[in-house]
Amino acid sequence: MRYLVTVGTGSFEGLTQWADNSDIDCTIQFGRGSAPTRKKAFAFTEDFEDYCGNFDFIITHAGAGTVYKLLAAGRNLIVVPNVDRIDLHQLEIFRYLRANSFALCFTLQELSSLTRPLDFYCNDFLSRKISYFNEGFDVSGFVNLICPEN
Amino acid sequence: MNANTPKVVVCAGSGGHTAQAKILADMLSDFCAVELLTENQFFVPSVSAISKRGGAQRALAFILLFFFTIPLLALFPIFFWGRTFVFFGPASCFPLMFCAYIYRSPAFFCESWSRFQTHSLTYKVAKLLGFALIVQNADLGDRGNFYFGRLG
Repeated sequence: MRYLVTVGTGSFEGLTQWADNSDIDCTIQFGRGSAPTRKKAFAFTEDFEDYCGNFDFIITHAGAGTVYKLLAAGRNLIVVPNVDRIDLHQLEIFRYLRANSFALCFTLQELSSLTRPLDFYCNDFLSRKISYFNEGFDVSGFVNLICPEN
Repeated sequence: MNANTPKVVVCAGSGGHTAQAKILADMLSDFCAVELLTENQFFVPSVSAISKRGGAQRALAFILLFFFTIPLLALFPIFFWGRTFVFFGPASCFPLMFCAYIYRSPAFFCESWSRFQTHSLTYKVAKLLGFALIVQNADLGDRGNFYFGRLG
C-alpha cells in the first residue's frame, strides 16, 4: 500500500520521524516541522486534495480541517492525535472517529508498537469501513440568527 | 445586494478553523456581503505559539496579543463599523473579539466541529463577552447556544 503522511499547516515531529524511520512506502508532508531525510517529502502543496488521490491511505494528524476535508472526500484515513498541542482537542476528534469507525485510529505510541505490518490493519479496516455521514447545516436558520431583519 | 444588505465579517483564524469558516462564508454569500479574515492578514495576527503547550513563548504570545488590541481599537471603527462578526477562533482572534465587544458590534462564535465533549478556550471567552454561541455537535447543545448542524 502507498501512504501519504500529512501534518497540516503546523508540525508533528513525532509522526514525521516515525514515518521517516518506518519501512512503509510513504511520502511525507511535513509542514513547518523539520524535513525527513530518508523518505520523499515536501512542506506544502497547492493541490493537496488532488494529490491525496495517488495514495491508498492518508496518515494524518487529527487536525479538524484536514480530517474533515479528507473524510468528506471519501479518503481512507489513519488518524494520529498530536498531543503536544495545548488544548488537546485532537484527542476529542480521535475518540469520535474511533468510536464511529470513520477512520483507523492510533496514538503515536500504538503506531510505534504495532505487532503486525500496517498494511494488515488497513486491509482489516477496509473490510469493515463505515462511510462518512454528513449531518448538513441549516444555513437559513443561521442567517435568521445573525441577520434577523434580512 | 444593496445598501441594506447585511455586512458580515467571518473571522477564520487558522488551520481547521479556516476550512470551516470558508464553507460558512461561501454559504452566507447568497444572503449577505461577506468578508473573510484569515490569520496573517493584519487584523488576525499569526501567533502559532498560542497553540503550544505551556512555556514562556506562549505567555509572550498572549502579551503581544494584548498590545496588538490597542491600535486595533482605534482602527476598528474605520474598517468594521456596522459589521456583524462571526468568529471561529483560535485565540489569535481575541483582539478582534475584544474590539467587537467594546464597540457593541453584533458578534457570534461558531465552535469547531471537532469539539464533542468540551468547549474551547475561545468559546469560553466568547461566552464571557456575551456573544451568541453556535455549536456543531448536538451533544454540546444546551440552552446557552444554538445548533444548526455541521458545516460541510
